[in-house]
Amino acid sequence: MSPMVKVLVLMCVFVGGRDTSAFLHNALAARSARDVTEFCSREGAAVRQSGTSQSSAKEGQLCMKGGGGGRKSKGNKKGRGKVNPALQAALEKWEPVIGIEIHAQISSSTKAYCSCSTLYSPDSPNTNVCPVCLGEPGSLPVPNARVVELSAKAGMALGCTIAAETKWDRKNYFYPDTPKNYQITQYDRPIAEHGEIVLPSGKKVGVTRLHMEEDSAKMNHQGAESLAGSTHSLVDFNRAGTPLAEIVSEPDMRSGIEAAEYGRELQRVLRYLGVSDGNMAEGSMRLDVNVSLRPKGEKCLNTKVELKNLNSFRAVQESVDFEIVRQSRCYETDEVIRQETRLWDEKKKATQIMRVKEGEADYRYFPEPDIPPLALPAELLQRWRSELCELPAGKRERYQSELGLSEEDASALSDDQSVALYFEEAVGAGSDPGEACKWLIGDIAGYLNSKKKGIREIGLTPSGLAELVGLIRERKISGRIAKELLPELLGGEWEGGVEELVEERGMQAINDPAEIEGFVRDVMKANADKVEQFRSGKTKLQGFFVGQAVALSGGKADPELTGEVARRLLEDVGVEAGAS
Amino acid sequence: MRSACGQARRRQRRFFSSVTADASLHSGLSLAEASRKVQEGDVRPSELAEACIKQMERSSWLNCFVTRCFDSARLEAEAADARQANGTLTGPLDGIPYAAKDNFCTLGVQTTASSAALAGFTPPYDSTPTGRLRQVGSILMGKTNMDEFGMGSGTLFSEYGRTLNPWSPESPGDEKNTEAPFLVPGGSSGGSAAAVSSGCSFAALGSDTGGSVRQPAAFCGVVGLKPTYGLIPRHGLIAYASSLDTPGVLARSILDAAMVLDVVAGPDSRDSTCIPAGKGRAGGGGFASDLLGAAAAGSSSSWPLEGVTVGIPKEFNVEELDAGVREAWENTARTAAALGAAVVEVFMPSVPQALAAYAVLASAEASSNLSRYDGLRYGARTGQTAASRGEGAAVGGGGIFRDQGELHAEITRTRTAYFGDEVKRRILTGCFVLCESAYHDYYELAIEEGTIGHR
Repeated sequence: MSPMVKVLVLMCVFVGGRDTSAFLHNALAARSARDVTEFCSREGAAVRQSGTSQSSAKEGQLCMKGGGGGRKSKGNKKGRGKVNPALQAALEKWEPVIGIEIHAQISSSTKAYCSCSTLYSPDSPNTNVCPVCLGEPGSLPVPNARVVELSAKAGMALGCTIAAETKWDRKNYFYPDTPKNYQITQYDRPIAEHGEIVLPSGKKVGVTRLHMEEDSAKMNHQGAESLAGSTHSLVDFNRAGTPLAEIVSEPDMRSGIEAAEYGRELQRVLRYLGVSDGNMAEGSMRLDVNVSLRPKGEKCLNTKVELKNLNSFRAVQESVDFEIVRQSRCYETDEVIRQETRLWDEKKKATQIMRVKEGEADYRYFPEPDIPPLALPAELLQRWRSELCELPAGKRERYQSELGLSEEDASALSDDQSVALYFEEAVGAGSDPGEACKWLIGDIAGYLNSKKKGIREIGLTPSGLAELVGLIRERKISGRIAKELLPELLGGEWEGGVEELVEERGMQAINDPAEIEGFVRDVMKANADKVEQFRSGKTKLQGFFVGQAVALSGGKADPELTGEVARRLLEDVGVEAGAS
Repeated sequence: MRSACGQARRRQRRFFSSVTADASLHSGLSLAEASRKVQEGDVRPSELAEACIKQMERSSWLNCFVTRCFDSARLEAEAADARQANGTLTGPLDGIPYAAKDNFCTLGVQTTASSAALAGFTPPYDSTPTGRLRQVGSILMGKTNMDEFGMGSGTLFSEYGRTLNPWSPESPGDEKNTEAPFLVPGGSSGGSAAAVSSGCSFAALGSDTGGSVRQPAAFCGVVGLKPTYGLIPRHGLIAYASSLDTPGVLARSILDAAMVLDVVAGPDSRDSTCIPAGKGRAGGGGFASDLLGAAAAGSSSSWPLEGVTVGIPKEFNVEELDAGVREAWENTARTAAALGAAVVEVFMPSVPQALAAYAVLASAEASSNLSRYDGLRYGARTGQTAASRGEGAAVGGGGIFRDQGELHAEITRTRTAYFGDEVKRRILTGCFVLCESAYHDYYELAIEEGTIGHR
């Protein structure tokens, strides 16, 4: 007899003899929707985001590659630069179909369903725990209002429809990292669905859904990477119950570059909103990428493979590219592609099989009876919507259309919200946008990278930058002097204004043609041979004379004026060269 | 059954007369009377507690309790004595002994829900109802026996043995007769009902998922109050079926029950399913005073129930109903009418489907609620692992699982060994109705029935 039949028989045994009254009312009362203010815990809301930043990448640190002023180093360009013949060959015949699931830790100081701290504390395991997140008998989950708010806002930013009424569900499975042996998640009525985001490249990616759920405990397998083969495993419940937003994309991406770009844009959006610190290295943003291939031009969907252990966007791109090549070879050698989970091995630059998915697991989802459905009234959603900040895509567009920046500069500036806001403040203080941009993504970015500092940790205020740009524009100092003074301004040693520092150091630009003439004449005297060469037609040498003269002035001579003076003197054969 | 009733009543009378005849014993008082005596200084809380202890010892043959708390009860009583002496009693329930069903978590007191799976489990926190009673100075006498995790209606399916109904025909205390015919106390709150009925405590907390307060109260001849879902918080009540579990009160009079309800009812920030403050009657006391007020107002009238409509659900009058029960029911309706109430027949057409819907929903939720009892973090565990077989070093008392298969095997062993048969049946049923292949035909249908029934 099959187990199912057996169960049916057993069921009949106890259907008799129970009291019938009043449960109908309960069942309904338990399922009637509540307002967010009625039962959600306010702990999260009260503390806001304080103390939750587990970021090691400093906020406001420019994500520039290649050190100071690396303006040409957008990740995708770099990727395009490398030619991978195997990948090119695969892409000629096959179209990759890529979808991504992102788990982002929501920036709440308290857990999803209890008021335990979410502080990352691997050195003191099982300290941020309580009966609720340990799943002790009798404990009940209380949804965190802050988590609901941030999830809704993230959904809005991703262009999703926000549910007027959302609910929680239980996903049942036995594993020691899940203390209740079920996870409280959302199944058929997620808080947000049907969205779309536009990536910097213009590519549109559909966002299927965003839902709220709780993280599991951390398993520390001793003596092996996984449970299998380990001598024993330790469980740290500090992470259990940490609030997560799971964001599922449509299978709209077609390359490793696009997958990584989607991940970067999601990270940017979540960071802008303060929804998550998006730290991949620490696991507060985890990407699972599904990859399948189909013959070019066809619309079918083939067996997909899930990629895990992707700790950087580079890993996302490389693993997808690897998988495209691997799967294309499988098809070409008639090897069956199984539905499996593969781990990215950073050292070997290859994906390795983790487990084969044998059929879909039955998680026996059902509505979480301990949390009533939650109504999100239109007025509340309207208020949350009005609180949304300008998103990276909006800034990119506006910096180009209103401030006249290039697409590349606009993207670089808006990569990090605190840098973008710094830039906007500098522009607000009167700075030329292009100049402010040049300094920010040039010398200042270089400084921040080398000092591992955030933009708000430097001594130069946005209005200070505007002042600096203004002094250059007014020719009160030269760009060269500005560069010289910059470290002192950024380091914060100088507490006064920029112009005061210039005066203090006697660095005002020399705009007196007579004074400049003196420097030029000195250079000409010292380089009579070069004067001869110039006069015999090698006019390119003018730059040499200007540079030398400016250097002689200690960088203070106005370069443009110096140029004019130099040309006049060099071309005037009456002016004597050589030592006087 | 009916013939036994008269005999049982006589035995019960004799049983109680032995309680009340002893002037030093106060456990035969109603809670309201005991409360008045404490407030007026006529009796000390410790005298009440001693009376209950004595009665618990005399009636140990009933097996009402899984855990008896004599030591802590005496300490709590002393503290209440002191408050009485210096005039700082917190309210009417200060110094009043009570019992709690063993599925209410009690700080520092073993809580098992009568399951071997939770033997030795001592909660690190108080449930909201027991915490609120502790707050007002009530004295916890013990944890009462029940059907394992609330699954049953006879207090028969308990790891700690069955509880007897104090109205049982055999003479009390006769140890030779324990195997003789007996009456069940009902269940699953049978221990609570029997404890209140036998004078072991003035009131008791119970829980009602599908009749588990009302039915044992009826079997034991006490008042059973199953309030509206969400009135008394569930925080700390070991879950059977979350959307149905309702903490309730067993007492010897309606007023006594209302006095306890005044303390335990009301919203709780730790339970999202509570009736929110300001919606309907969300608690906040006043139940007892409303009763007294209504009684006072009615006493001067010859039609004290005038303006009250009493509905008699037609569907509850089933063929199988015992004639004596039907007679009592009809008498009560006549009495209500005689006192001025309008007694009308009402229709609840979904009632015939209710039992089936209950069976599906309750077992579905139970299968998930009980999955946490895997022996890994608390409670009992078989420990048949590689470690216990001497194949590896034990770590922190835990077992060693070489792979997921071994881990799941150990969880299975533990659950097989420590869950009772009835619990296993419901878990299996629950897992089945939640399976993808069965969900639509069972779970969704049951929800639908529940919703229609409410219209």
